[in-house]
Amino acid sequence: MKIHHILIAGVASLALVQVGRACIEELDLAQMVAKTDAAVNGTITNVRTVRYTPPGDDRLIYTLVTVAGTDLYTGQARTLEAAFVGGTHEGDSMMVTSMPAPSEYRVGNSVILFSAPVEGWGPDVERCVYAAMGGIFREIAGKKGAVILGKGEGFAVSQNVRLADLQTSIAKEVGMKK
Amino acid sequence: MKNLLRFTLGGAVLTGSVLLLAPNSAVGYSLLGQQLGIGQRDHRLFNNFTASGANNNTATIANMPAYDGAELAMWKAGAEWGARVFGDGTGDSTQTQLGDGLASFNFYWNGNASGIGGTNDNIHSEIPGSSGGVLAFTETPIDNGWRIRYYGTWSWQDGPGSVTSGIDLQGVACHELGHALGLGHSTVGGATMFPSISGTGQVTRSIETDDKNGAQANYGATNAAMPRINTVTGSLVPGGTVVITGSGFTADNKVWLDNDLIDGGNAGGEPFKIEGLASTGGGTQITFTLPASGYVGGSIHVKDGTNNDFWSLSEGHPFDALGGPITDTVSLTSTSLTPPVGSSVTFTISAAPGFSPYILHYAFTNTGTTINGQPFDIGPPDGTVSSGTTDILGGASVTRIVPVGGAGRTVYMETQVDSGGVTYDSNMITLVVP
Repeated sequence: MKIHHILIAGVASLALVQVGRACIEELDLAQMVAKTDAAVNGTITNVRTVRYTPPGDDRLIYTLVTVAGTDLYTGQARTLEAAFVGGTHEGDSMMVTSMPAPSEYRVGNSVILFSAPVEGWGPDVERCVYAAMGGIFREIAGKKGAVILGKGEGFAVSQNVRLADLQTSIAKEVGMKK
Repeated sequence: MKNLLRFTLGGAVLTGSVLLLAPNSAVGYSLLGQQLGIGQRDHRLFNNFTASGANNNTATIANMPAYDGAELAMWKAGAEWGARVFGDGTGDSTQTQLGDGLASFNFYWNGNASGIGGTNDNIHSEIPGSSGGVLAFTETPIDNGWRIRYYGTWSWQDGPGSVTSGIDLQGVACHELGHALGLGHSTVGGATMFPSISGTGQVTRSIETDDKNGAQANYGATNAAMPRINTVTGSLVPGGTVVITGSGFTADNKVWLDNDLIDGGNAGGEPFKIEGLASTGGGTQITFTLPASGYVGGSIHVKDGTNNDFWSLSEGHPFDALGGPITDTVSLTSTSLTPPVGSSVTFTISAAPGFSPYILHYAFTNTGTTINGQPFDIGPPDGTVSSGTTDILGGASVTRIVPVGGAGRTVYMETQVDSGGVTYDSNMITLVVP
């Protein structure tokens, strides 16, 4: 049990120090739910990148992450593709401080991904990972069920929390949103 | 037992990783593992901010002259990371002084840029499109330069005092410049480098102890040998004699002034340098003559002439002087300067404001002329080689065949570019047709 806690704390700390660097909105869970229209808990099934040059600006590279699972806002099965700025496309790298750590968006990872529609991100991107590094959270297996790894103060999931408890909290916030 | 052992080993590996990556419990800062060399200390602003509040401060301040609006907010954000107090430290009513870094590091504000620049050109600018919950980001790696983008969907505010609504540009810029100088995020709530910003973000204007510790970990504490400017006196006009008093001056010093170049490339980040200045008074005084042009008012720094260590650039000091007319900010080149009749010549324009109308003039004299109040090197234009609009990067090119009538003539060419109500000129090129 004790070792188990150390493991979770270790993974959580690792995630915390590896997250990207940028200035993001401070979002608690209620604010995140209010600003997004989907929170898919599932498995990352695909990661791809696209390049887009907005009119009058320089080229941007977006990383698009596909998550297949359950939308915690509706309880329905959902496969969702959402993007964040930054990545490497055909050898062209754009590394930015708002990106999640690469270990967070690997294919096969179990995650919760908060998402909202975006505009002006080009023809390939309709949705974003909301707050980029602040919108994706790893899930690991715990002794008493799945655990979502928190990222610290200022993030929607600040502390490690059982998935079941987070689902309850999200359902409560969704109910208030309606 | 086997499972437990595996679990323990896994935990040990993870804990080891944490020990390698995370700061110890006494500190909250983290480092990117890179530093900005002396040649990358500049920062500029392409002022394309669209929010009305981003540029509604029209008041300049004595300690940071010649700039207002978003420019002043950016300048103050960089000055806060300075090793020592900037000038007399005044200029921001929300904090006791500007310049708190205490590390061997100083940013160098170089005014406006004419475009967003490349990823290593050290330019701040707004980026269009939905923010998706991100206020701003810094493009990395930073060791050979950076670029900071601010999402245009936020209601940016330039202050200069307390900001009660929208997002404080100076505060967010201070955070992003922390990344630019090599800091990651801090786990200390209230630190400028804390990853998220609540409210307007104004509180992040002032760096905290943990931020200073991070800067010192990356560059070392302020080196006692770092040049220091105490006063700047004399005649601050072209041709005037200026005296800098301070300490840490050597037998070979450089004075860095804000450059009048505003192009979107690396050249615009270069300060205007007056070199080969020996100090007097036991390293406490530097005297130099202001040139006729090439610089603008803003800040002044002293750079050790031979040493390029992190500490070799002084903190900034206000320098309220205007140079001569700002000229030749656009670049004009030709594939040949002696093209024979009938040959093809390509003229290339670069470093101009983007998406702006240009005219490539020609004249048969080089007596100088004035167009829209801007001095040109050519005589009154005798005609137009080409006109059009510059591209996103401020460039254009045109190819022409040398006409028969040009044989034996000398032709002077210069580019006019109009942007934002301002006329810019290029260098003059001289074509001698055999």
